[in-house]
Amino acid sequence: MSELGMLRESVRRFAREVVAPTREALNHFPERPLPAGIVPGLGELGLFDAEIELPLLGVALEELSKVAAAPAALVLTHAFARALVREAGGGRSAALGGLNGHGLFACPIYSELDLSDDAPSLRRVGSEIELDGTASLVVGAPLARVLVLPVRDAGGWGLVGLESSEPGVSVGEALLTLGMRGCPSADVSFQRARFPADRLLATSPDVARRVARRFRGAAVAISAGVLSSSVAAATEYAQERYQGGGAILEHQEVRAILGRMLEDLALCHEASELLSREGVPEWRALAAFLRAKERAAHATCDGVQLLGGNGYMEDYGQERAMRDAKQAQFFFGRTDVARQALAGAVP
Amino acid sequence: MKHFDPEAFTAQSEQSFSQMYPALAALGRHRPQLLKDYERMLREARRFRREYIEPHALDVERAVMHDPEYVAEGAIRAASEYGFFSTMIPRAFGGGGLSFGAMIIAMEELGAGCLGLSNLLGVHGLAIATVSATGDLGAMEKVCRLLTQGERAGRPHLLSTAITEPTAGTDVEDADLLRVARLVSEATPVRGGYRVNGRKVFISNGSIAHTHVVILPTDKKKPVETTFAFLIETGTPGFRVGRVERKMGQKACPAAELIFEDCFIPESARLNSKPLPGRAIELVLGATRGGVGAWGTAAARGAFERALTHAKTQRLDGRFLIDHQWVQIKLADMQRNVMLARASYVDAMLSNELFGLSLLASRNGMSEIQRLLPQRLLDSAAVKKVMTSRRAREGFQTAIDELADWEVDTASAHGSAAKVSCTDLGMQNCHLALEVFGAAGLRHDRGIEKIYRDAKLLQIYEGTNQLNRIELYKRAVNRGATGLDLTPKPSVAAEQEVQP
Repeated sequence: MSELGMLRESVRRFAREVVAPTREALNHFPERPLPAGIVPGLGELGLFDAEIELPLLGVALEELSKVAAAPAALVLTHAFARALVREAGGGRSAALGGLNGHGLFACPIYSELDLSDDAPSLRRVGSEIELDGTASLVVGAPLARVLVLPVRDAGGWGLVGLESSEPGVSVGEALLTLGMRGCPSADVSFQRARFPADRLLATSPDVARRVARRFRGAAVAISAGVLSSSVAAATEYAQERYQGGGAILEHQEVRAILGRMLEDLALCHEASELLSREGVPEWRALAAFLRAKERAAHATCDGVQLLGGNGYMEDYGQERAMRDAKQAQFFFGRTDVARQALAGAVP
Repeated sequence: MKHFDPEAFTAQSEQSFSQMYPALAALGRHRPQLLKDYERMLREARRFRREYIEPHALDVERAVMHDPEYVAEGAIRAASEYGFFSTMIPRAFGGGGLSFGAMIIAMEELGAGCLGLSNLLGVHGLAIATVSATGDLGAMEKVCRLLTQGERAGRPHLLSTAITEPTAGTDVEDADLLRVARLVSEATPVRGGYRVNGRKVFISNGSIAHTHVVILPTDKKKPVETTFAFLIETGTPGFRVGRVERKMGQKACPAAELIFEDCFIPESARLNSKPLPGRAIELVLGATRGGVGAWGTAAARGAFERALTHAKTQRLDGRFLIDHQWVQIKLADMQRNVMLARASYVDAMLSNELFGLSLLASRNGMSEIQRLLPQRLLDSAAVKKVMTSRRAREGFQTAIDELADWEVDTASAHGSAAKVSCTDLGMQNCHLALEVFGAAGLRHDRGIEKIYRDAKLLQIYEGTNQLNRIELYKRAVNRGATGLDLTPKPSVAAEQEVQP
């Protein structure tokens, strides 16, 4: 079996045997504690390793997301934040324990990372930097060792990498979010806190843009996995649910809804495939990325609709898919902000 | 299903002025008092939204997430002080005497603050509408008095309406589908009353209501001919509340399972009416679907208002969001959606006043008489005797029977059109608002992701938007179509199953 095949099989088994039984607890985070086995299990699968290749990561994320997207979001965020540090040349930083050190990396992956309007401000004070303000919705922060955050640097942009245990770093309570509820996020605050200047890893937002481009395929894999589970549940329900004198799958309108969901799933897979290739023009890659995430979010709303009242209840998983897919649409920021860039990417 | 009917098509193309323009036709029956009532309700609802709903909505939701059986007692008490539970109850029965339309206007305002809390308060509308559509004024008087007396004491007597069954959701919303429904509940006639067995699911306020308006057939093999409304009290032996559902949103309004196991109810529990499927149900749904339209508008508005506030205060790329053209266009689209949705549900509301259930309440000057008589007189035994007399009941039933088919169809069509349009526009605005918010919108403490979750239910309850389109087809596109051939054989091409 190929490396990819082996990874797919082992992730599937982990998702089925470890993640699936804890889905309810994951779904109720932070009202309930995180199930203990998830993060160590992801680590044992090698999903937090620096060496994992992006196509393999994408396959793993899709398989995980078919069962629960929250662990996949945690893995994606870690890999992305770590890549940001490496790209910014901070991989050798002893202060960060090096990239090979243990522990999770966190970052505000749902924001436009190349912009820093609501980021903490940075001021240079001699050989130190001073941070003030709050980084909002930092994904992975409650569990992370390393926090990778955009900052406002005298009107410009900066990227800092900090150990979450450093004095001056305050990680807030885990936040309740629309979706991906078992992937803990928190605000990270600073009150004129000073750090050594080497915590400032980069000052050009191009770093964030380059890394986000590379990770689009992995992000779309999560949308594809979530939608895939929604289509499967909708199909099964439509075959079994009796209404109007027969199985609802026999109703033309139900078939039309299911058909549209499959069209969108195909679109997600095509986007994944496109984004795994080298040399794809930027406008095509970005267009596929935006379209796939957006369609998955809409299609999972239809997944709820197809199950009617049952779809709205937690038991069938459709409501979770709807929330997760909508949240996944925000990986690397808003669709409409990215569209502005797309218009500028025309060859 | 009856196929294209040239006669019906001609009738359709020759719609009367009032069918085409119910809002304009309402001008002809302009009652200044009605407008004053609407304005008063808007003011009251706005005050309640500001003072109670908005400060508590997110906390109530977190409390329910922590404990699904948590009840927003504070909201219920506060709403009692405002009289929201009895607003649309006739004055002769101790209520506020305002029209259904006034209540709908309040629901938009309250729903823009929190759809869950608004549903907690507004679900009475469905129960009261159902009881009133039976024409059993004695039962109406009993239910309304319990409700209003409780409200005055700060402990409103809550009502629920139980229709949906585990195996029949869409099927119990339509008489044609009811014929082929697989029902599990039945009120079997026995000496002195009925023995109820079965289950009802997703019943809004089911776990906290004191009286349940339960829709049951006396012979589930003949549901169209034998379905009636029954009043069943909480605590009746053989009746218990099952599980309280864990829903995606609208968490402030509990949805519960009602379980009946050899539950005996006396003959008097059955509301005195003709079988409900058909005209009575159509009248109720024609009215209440407009109400769901108001909630769809509320979702659109709540999303818009929050996006606007966010856009005015948050920056993107160095400028306030509201200074970005793409955000301005989105906000304009959201405002437009609110306007369109409101126009749609107001048409439904006025169609109901002109042709539907509300017309019955105002016919023969009943509303005017109640408005003019002093409350002391309305509460007297003599008035009660007249209002609950057999003659009054028969008069009400005659009024239902005398409504022309086109009148009922017009009210139903506008109700369904509003329900579909408003709730779809509500969801559309949620998508737009989340885009304006960006990552901040994903946080519960910003309030917008809650509207997204809450609004989705509106496309499902009171008949899915798919069923309501079929209803619209029957009431406005191909009037008179009966029987629903919903399950034509899929085409050969469609038979080629695709495995994802």
